[in-house]
This record gives sequence, structure tokens and C-alpha cells, in this order.
Amino acid sequence: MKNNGKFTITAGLAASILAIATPAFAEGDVVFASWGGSFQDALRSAMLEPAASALNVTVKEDTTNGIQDVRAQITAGAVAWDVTEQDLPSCETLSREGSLEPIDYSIVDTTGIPEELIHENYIGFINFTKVIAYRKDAFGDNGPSNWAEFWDLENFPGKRSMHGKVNYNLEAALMADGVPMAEVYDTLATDEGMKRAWSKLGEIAPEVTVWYRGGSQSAQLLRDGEVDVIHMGHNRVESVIASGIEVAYAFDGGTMDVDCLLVPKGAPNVENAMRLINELLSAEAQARLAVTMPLGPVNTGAFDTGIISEEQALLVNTYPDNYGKQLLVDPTFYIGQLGELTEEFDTLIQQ
Amino acid sequence: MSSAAQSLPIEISSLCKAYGPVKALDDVSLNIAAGEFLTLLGPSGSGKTTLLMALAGFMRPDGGSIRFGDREMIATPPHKRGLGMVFQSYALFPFMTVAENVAYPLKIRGVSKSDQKTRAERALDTVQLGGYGDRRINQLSGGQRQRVALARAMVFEPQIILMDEPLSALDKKLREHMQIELKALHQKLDATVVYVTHDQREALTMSDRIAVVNHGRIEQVETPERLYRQPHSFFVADFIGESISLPVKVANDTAQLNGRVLKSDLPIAHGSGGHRLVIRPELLEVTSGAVPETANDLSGRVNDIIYQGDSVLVMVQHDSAGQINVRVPANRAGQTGLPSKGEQIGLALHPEDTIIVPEHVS
Amino acid sequence: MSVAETYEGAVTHQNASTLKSEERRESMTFFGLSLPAVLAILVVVFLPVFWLSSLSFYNAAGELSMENYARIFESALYRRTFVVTFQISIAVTVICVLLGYPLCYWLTKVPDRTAAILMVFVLVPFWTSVLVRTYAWLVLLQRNGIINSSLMSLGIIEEPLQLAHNLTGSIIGMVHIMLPFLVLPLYATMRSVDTDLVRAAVGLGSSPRGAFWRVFFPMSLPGLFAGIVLVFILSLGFFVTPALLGGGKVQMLAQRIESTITVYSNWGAASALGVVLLLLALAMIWLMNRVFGLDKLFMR
Repeated sequence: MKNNGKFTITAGLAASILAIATPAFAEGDVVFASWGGSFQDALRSAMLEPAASALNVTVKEDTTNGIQDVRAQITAGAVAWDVTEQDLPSCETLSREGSLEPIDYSIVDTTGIPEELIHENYIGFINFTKVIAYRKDAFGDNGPSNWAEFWDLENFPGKRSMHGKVNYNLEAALMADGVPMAEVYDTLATDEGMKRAWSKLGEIAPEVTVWYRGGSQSAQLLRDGEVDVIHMGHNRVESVIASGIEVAYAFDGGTMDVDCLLVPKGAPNVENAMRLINELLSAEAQARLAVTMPLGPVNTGAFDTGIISEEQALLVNTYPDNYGKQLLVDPTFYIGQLGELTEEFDTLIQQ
Repeated sequence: MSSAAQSLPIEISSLCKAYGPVKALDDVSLNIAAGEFLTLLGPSGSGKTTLLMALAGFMRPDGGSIRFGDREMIATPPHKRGLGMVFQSYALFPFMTVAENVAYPLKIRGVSKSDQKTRAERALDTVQLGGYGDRRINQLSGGQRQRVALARAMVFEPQIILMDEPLSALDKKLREHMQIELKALHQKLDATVVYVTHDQREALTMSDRIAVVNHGRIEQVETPERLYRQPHSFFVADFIGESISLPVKVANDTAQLNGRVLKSDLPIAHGSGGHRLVIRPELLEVTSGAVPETANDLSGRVNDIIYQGDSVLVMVQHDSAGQINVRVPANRAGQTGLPSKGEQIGLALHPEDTIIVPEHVS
Repeated sequence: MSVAETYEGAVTHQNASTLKSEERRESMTFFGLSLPAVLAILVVVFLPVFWLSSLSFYNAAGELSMENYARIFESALYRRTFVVTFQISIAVTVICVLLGYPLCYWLTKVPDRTAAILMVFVLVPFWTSVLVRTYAWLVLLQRNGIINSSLMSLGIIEEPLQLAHNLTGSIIGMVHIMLPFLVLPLYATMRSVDTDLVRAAVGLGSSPRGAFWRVFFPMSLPGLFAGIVLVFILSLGFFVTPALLGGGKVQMLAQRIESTITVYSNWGAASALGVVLLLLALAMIWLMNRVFGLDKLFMR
């Protein structure tokens, strides 16, 4: 690990700092790293710029490619980021590795944030859900809208697509096999349950036309009618619908993942980091993001700010009426066995 | 070589080929005797190679007839014409050994492996390359490659062998040596040879007869000596050998140079565009005294003398005809008889050497 | 004066030392000119390859270990990936030869101007990004793509053919990208074949078909083999096309390397795969050289 750390830090430095949000009289800096692209643009206007003004600090931005960037900075003893967004398993992994500063809950207000997303070293930020979406030209109004129906080729014939990663697919297989949502991870914790998941996944695997690689590909597949039903990010489904394609989806059986905010150990401005996190989690900031992109605020208070209309709220995955219909992914499940599970999954889908 | 194969005569008649407005072959007719060594001689672009390619079958003529013996060949594909061929580039197969190259025509003809071997060896012996069979082509010199190409062309005892400028890539000394060798080889083989060259000296050295080709037509077909001594056209006279020419007037089978009648024993060919007197420098005689009455007098003053090794070129200024060159052998006798610069000398052109040709053949 | 004397310096020629130093200066200049390239290759090729290879001998804990190689040889998935990679590379190479050889041969037969224009058609895709071309194939091959919709509107098929998101699509896309790598060396070689050689063969009695197989074909082999080696070796490490046109079901070695990096966050595992791929490619070149005898064929 030591060696590749050095290599990645050079790559990280080369990526450099993207954009700076700065108030008139800034009192200090804070460096924030997220995924870049249109997503980070949305974060900037909805959250980072208002936060910079409110805190009177300069918010510098960078982009991350994932957990390895954080590890590299810590290994090299040159931590450049104060706050970064990572997926839940990465946060849990880094936390276990002792690479994180504890969140200072005297600064960060947790009102409105679900308990399961508040952790000693990290805290939930935004919820992403993959839903089962189908084209109405293939199924009318009664397409497959839960996992049992997704697996049911007889009553719902059509081309299928799933994400080409093991994550969510084992869970989906168990739900298709009749395991209640609340028992999915308990079942997966047993050898028997794991076997059951693999065998059910083996049933659908030959019928999956495309195991897509990423979000943009999933949207293209649905938009071009390359497949009829697909398990994909709900915000992208909304963008396909917005482009005029007749698509339906439900939150039932959707798989919800959470990105969280963390402070790498040795961050230069820990206090500013805590203040920024508090701003990013405020009900208003979260609501502003939800209306920019249909992504789920972790702060349920967002729906009471008046920023999100009733109509818009129905489309948001964390809206209380929707939240309970989805499976919240357990970050601890994949930790330590992702490599193994991925290889088994790849063996299963390989032609 | 065995006498199984009998050489064949070739009969070409009214062969035509045009590339757009250019006539590459303009109604060509030519008979080549069995066993003859006939050379197609002409400048580049004259059509000599086109004619050879038509014989080989690589070029499809617009019309006419080609007969090998009594068989019409005009529509026969090249591989069924049974020809031996030697190319200017040698065209040896670089990925085969010398022996494999030579045996190639035998292999195609289904000759047994052991026969292939003995016959290829014999052919290589004939071209003095015995023992070279296992060499690779890139290990051979230019002359050796040429011999391999020859061996390959004759190994299957073809009745006709076509050669396209086979010696032009060799240096002068080797070329002259190979000319003699080829001629000797032809006498051993019972094959009709059609040989293409632009080198008139090579043609004169090797051929039984020479066909001079110009603008897609055959100007004259003759033995080397007669072609040299009695050209039928100015083109032939000018292309073969060294010469200078002077315009003459011809009326009633007599030619006049500047008003003086030229004595000539040779017939005057008819054509178009007037006539010219062709003077070969080595046929002029430097006389010690006055030019005898029997000869044509071309006397004048010596302008310059150029030593050229085997001979000396004397440049003479004639009163009315301009500059005339005389070639004198550089042996002792010639040396002693040499005039000096500025001296007035007598030049005799004898009637048997007085060549008068039309500007163009009709 | 013998050569030996000259070398021992017994005979000193006029201006000998000036001429000698002039010669030395000249050769230093040539060496100096090549120095940037030599250094660049050293820095951007050899050092990274060496460094990356060395990573493969460390496990996730940073200890010296053969763990990464053991996984490759023990796991059915990796074996399967190697087999698939070779199968696809062989298929792509064979199809490229079957398409490219007649194409090149035909190009040598048409007039030079036509050949030049046709070569541009072969080369234009060469200048387009692989990604763009792969997406273009997706547009052509997918369920509602141009090919399927044309065939269906013509009534030739009733159901769309599954042309993309599988092995077929991957191979089609790869062949398109690899074809110029076969065509370029092959066409150059074919062009350089002396037409007199084929004429000689025909003139000496070979049928045109016989002359082709006995003379032209062997003469074109160096170019064909160069093309085959290029296409095959490049195919072994191909990533974009199978990733986009394979529907996730076609997993070649390069994709496995990528997935290994993401999943293990450990370069050693991926590096071991890279080392095996590199060694396989070198072994294939060595083997092809042995089988085809390239050096022998290039000798003229």
C-alpha cells in the first residue's frame, strides 16, 4: 500500500483545485472534495456558495475518485482535504482503519437526520436510490414493479438490465425470492442465505441483456429502448422521463445507498470542516439540492422548509412516504468480502 | 539438352493494340523462324516490350494473330503458352533456393522430385552454376542471378524463350561477356528466342535477325550486317551504329549532295519527307592524295582530333556540307597516317558505303 | 601498407587526427539526437513497467508474497478470463485476415489513384477515437439500431437480432478497430512485391491461382504476419470495445485488471495480471516468430 500511495498523491495533486467559493471578507479556508461533474455543480450552487457566505470562509473544491484518494493522502502524511463525500462502505472502512477525525457533534446539528446515519466518525449526506423502472411502450401501466415481477419473465417478458456490480444484486435476488426487506441482511449473514441469493441471481443472470457499467449508460439503455426494464438510479430515471420517454417506476424494493461526509485524520482545518458539515446538512441546504436534482436529503426537515413543493416531494426518495419502501444498504455487509463477492458475481455473468 | 523439344516458328500478323490515342502496336506482322534468335530493338516506348508481352500473353491485343507453329495463341492464357521467360529484374523467387527456383517450372509440370533435382542441376551446369543449388538468391551476384533466371527459363526445354532486356542491369564488362555466353547457349538449345533490348550493340552481337521497332511498327527486319550496311530508313540508320547525316535530293534513283551526284551501289529506299545521306565515320577513307574518281569526295580541313583509345576521331570541316567525322583505328598504321589540325585532307566515301535513306518509311 | 600498420599507427596520414575527431564528433551528434528518445523510453516505459511489476509481489498488507499470482492461477474466473481473452483475440485476428487480405490484394490491383482513395476510407476510422467508433457501432447494432430497424422494415427479420451487448458485438467492434493494423503492413508488403515475380510464375507455367499461392502469397507473408502479430497482441489488451459492446458479459483481461483495481484497492493484484498479460504477449511474439520464421522471410 505504501508504494501505490505515493503514486496516487501525485495524480491527486495534478488534479488540483477546481473552483473556489469565497465571501467578501473570508476568515479562513476549508477544502471540500466530491465527485465532480454536474453533480458537483449542483452542490456548489445549492450548498457550497451559501455555506461560504454564511460561515465567512473560502470553500475550495477538489474532486475524488474514491477511497484510495483519502488513503493516499493519509499514508503520505499530506492531507489536503477537510471534508470529502464518500460512499457508505468507504466511510465505514476508513473509520475502521482509524483514518477519520471524529465528528464534533457540538458543532454539527443532527436534528432531522435518521439515527442509522449518524456515526461517531462520519454522517449521512445524500441518499441515492436505484429503482425498478420500465418503459410503458413495453408493459403499459402495469410493468414489473417489484423484484418478484422483475424475475418473472413469463408474465413480464422483455429485455432486462442490471448494474454490473455485485452490490444491490444479491439483495434484489433475496427480495425476489420472497425474503422481506427487513430480513435481507440477516439472511445474507448466513451461508445458507448467501447460497439462496446466488442461486436466485443465477436464475435471472442469463436473461439480463446488459449489465451496465455506469449511470450514463443505464440512462441511454432506457432512453433508446435497448432494454424494457432496468434497475437504475432514480434521479436518472427522472431525467429520462423529462426527456419525454414514457417510463414508470416505484420506490418499492428500491435499493437506497447513502453518501456520507467525513473528515480525514490530520485535515488542516478541522474546525471549519465541522462548521461546513453543519451547513451542508441544514434543512435548507438539503432542500435546495433536492429541487436542483431529485436526490434525497438526509435531513427530513428539508420537507418542512417550504422550498420543496408537495408535488416535488413525492419524487424524492427520502420523502417520509417513500423512505420506508426502500432497502437501506448495509455498509458493513460488503466490507472485507467485496473482492470475493465481485469475483463470484463476475463468474456468474461472464458469457 | 535432350532433343525432345522441337523449336517452333512464330507467326505474328496484323497485331494491334492502342492505349487511347497511342498506338502501342500498329498492325505488326513478323515471322520468326524455328530456332532463330530474333531481337526486338528500339528506343524506350517504341512498343518492343508491348510486343513481347503480347507474345507472352500478359497483354491482350485489340486484334491480330499470333501463331506458335500451327497453333493460334492469341487467346491462350500465358500459363498455357509453354514459354520460357527471362525478365529484366530476373524475377527470381527470393524465398526459394537457387535449385528451387530452377526446378519451379518442372514442379508445376508435375515432374518427379528426383527428375526435378537432376534436371535443375543439369540446367545450372549449363549456365556454369553447378553446385550453387543450395544458395539463397540474396547470396548471388547480379551476373549469377541472371544465369539462374536463364537456367529456370530453359530447364523445361521450352520451344520458345522470351527475354526482356535480361542483361541491362549488369555492368558493361559482364554484359558483354554474357552476350557471348547467351549466344553460345542458344546454339546449344533447340529453342526459338525472342529477345528485347534497346542496346543496338547487344542486338548486333547476338541476333540472327533484328527487328527494329519504332512507334509501334516494325521498321525493318534484317540480319545484323545487312541492317547495318543497308538500313531502309533514316530511323534505322540513325539508331544503329554511329553516323552523321546530310540532306540530299533524290530524283530518278540518283541522289545529289549540294548539286553533286552521289555514286552509290546501294538501292535507294522510298519513303516520305525527303532523303538523307548517312555517313558512318569508320567507313570513310582518308586518302593521302586526291580522292579517286570512283568514290564520293568529302574532303575538307581538320578541325580537331580526339583520342578515344581504340580509335581516333578526326573532325573535318567540309566546305559545303558542314562537319564530318572520320574514325581512324588507333593502331600504329593509323597513328602514322594521322593528319594534323588545320590540314586539308582527302575523304573518300566509296559507293558500296554510300547509304541514302528516306526520312520516314512509307 | 597493410591494414595492420594503419591500426597500429605506424603510418600517420596527413590530417588523420582531424578526420578522426570529425568522425567522432559526427557519431556523438547522432547519439545526442537519439538521447531524448532513449531517455523517454526509459522513463515512461521501462521504469513504470518495472515498478508496476514489482508491486505484484506484495500483498495487501505490503508483505512480499506470491498471493497475487496464486489467485490468478487458482481462480476459475481468472482462467476463464484468459481463455475468453485468447478466444476473442484469435477470432478477431482470423476475421481481420479474412477481410483484410482480399481487400489489400484488391487494392494492389486497382489503379493507384483509386487505391489511394480507398486507403483513406480504411484510414479515416483510424484517426477517430476508439470510444467514438465503439458508440457508433452501438448505434448501428443495438435493438432499435440502424441495422435491426432496416432489416425489420425490409421484412427480412421479425424480431430484432441481438447484435450488441454480447460476444458478437464485441468482435464486430474490435474487428473494425483492428482492421487498419492488419491492412497497413500487409498492403505495404503487397505493394512491394515485384509484379514480375507473379508474371514469371505464370510465364513459366503456373495458373494464375497457382502463381498466387506459390509466389504472391509467400511474398506477402511478412506483411501478413506483421499484421497478425499487431492485431493479436493489441486485441489481448483491449478494453473499451468489449466493455461497451459486451453488455458486461464479455470480460477480457484488461477489464479484469480494471475491476481488480477498484475492488481490491490494491495495485498488486492488478499488477500481477498485467505482468501475466505482458509475458503472454511476449511469449506469443516469440512463438509466432518461431512458427512463421519472420526473420527468415524478411531476408531478401
